[in-house]
Amino acid sequence: MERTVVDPLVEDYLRRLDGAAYPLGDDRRGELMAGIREHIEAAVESGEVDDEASLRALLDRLGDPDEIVAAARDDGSGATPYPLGTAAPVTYRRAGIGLEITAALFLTVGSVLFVIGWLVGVVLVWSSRRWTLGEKLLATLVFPGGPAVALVFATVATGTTSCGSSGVIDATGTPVDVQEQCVSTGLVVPTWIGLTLVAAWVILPILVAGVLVMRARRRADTEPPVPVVTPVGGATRWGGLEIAAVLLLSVGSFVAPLVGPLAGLVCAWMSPQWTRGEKWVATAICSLVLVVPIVAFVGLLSFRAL
Amino acid sequence: MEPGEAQNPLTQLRRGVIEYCVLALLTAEELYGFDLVRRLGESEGLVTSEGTIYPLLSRMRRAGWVTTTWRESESGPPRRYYAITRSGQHALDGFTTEWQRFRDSVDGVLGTGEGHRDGAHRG
Repeated sequence: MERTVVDPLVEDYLRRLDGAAYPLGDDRRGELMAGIREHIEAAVESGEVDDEASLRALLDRLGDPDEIVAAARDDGSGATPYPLGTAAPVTYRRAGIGLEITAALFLTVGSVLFVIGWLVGVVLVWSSRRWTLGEKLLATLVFPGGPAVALVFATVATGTTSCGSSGVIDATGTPVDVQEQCVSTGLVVPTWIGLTLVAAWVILPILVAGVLVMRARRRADTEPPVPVVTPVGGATRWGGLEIAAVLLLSVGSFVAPLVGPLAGLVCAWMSPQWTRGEKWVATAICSLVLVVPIVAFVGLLSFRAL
Repeated sequence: MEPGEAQNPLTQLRRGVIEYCVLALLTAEELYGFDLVRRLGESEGLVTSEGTIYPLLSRMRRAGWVTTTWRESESGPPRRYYAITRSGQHALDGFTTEWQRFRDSVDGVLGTGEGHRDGAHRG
């Protein structure tokens, strides 16, 4: 049941507040107006306000619209004075979904690193708090191994199917009654089922990943912006530790295989600036950087053994 | 110094501490805006303009210190309830320690500390 207090006094007050709150932008103005309106309605419901005098007293206690808006303008810009010398101005940024995007990439593109890339994706999916249990199960079960598995399947299937013609050759050497025949020696699956399966194995995981990323974005937008502590002096989110982490993770393996990326990982987790999600992304990159050379090495060995 | 200017430091101080008072009230239970403002109003001199609590709540929500949920009320439109988050609790714990130290220091300098009064702390 929607009930609004209609009174010239209240209307006038809300109009003045709305006008004063204009510079706050639509979102914050709307939130402020809703809060004040709810306050007045709750006061009326509580029986505290029953005549003009008590209504005037209520509006008086709420304060001058300009004063309320001034209090609202204090924040967000990092200009809020912090008490007791804790002097760290805080700014806000939109909540990021780096973790979710990385998870989606590993589940799809990353699956070319057979099993391992996909497994990293699964771990990332389950460490996100922006997906429901159902969505995490969906991401895990559609489909194990990721799209790359379809490529293997396709390779195996084409490798085991041979087609040939059979017929009767007449006296002049012309083929008569020719029939195309395909013989599958390995997996005996009709072609159309095989193709559907391969297509589904490629398309559905990508579709699921796309939908889940969009959902994560929508949910992240409803979250409060992430406070970013900016040290006095205006340093950015890139301190020495963060730069070291990126350098070690990217080119560290050329300098010191294994140890370089691992040191980068330690730097990433020690960073006071990066969020947990961002640290997990660094972890995923690190595991990738460690795994790629190993896979390449093993691959090379087995190739030479053939 | 003008009498009006003498009020200024307290206004600044009030602005700084009020959000922690909000957090402290929310540790006991979830409250909606009006209720929260009334509880704060029960402590004398804490809130001058009740309306300024709303921008504060909005800021605390964006900072992740409180979360909000809409709940039906018995009469009238749904209300926005505020609950403290883990990071809000963290901020409150940090502030409480600092505040006690700060208060003791000021009391000590002003000569209004426990040694000068009966020293009985309630609560």
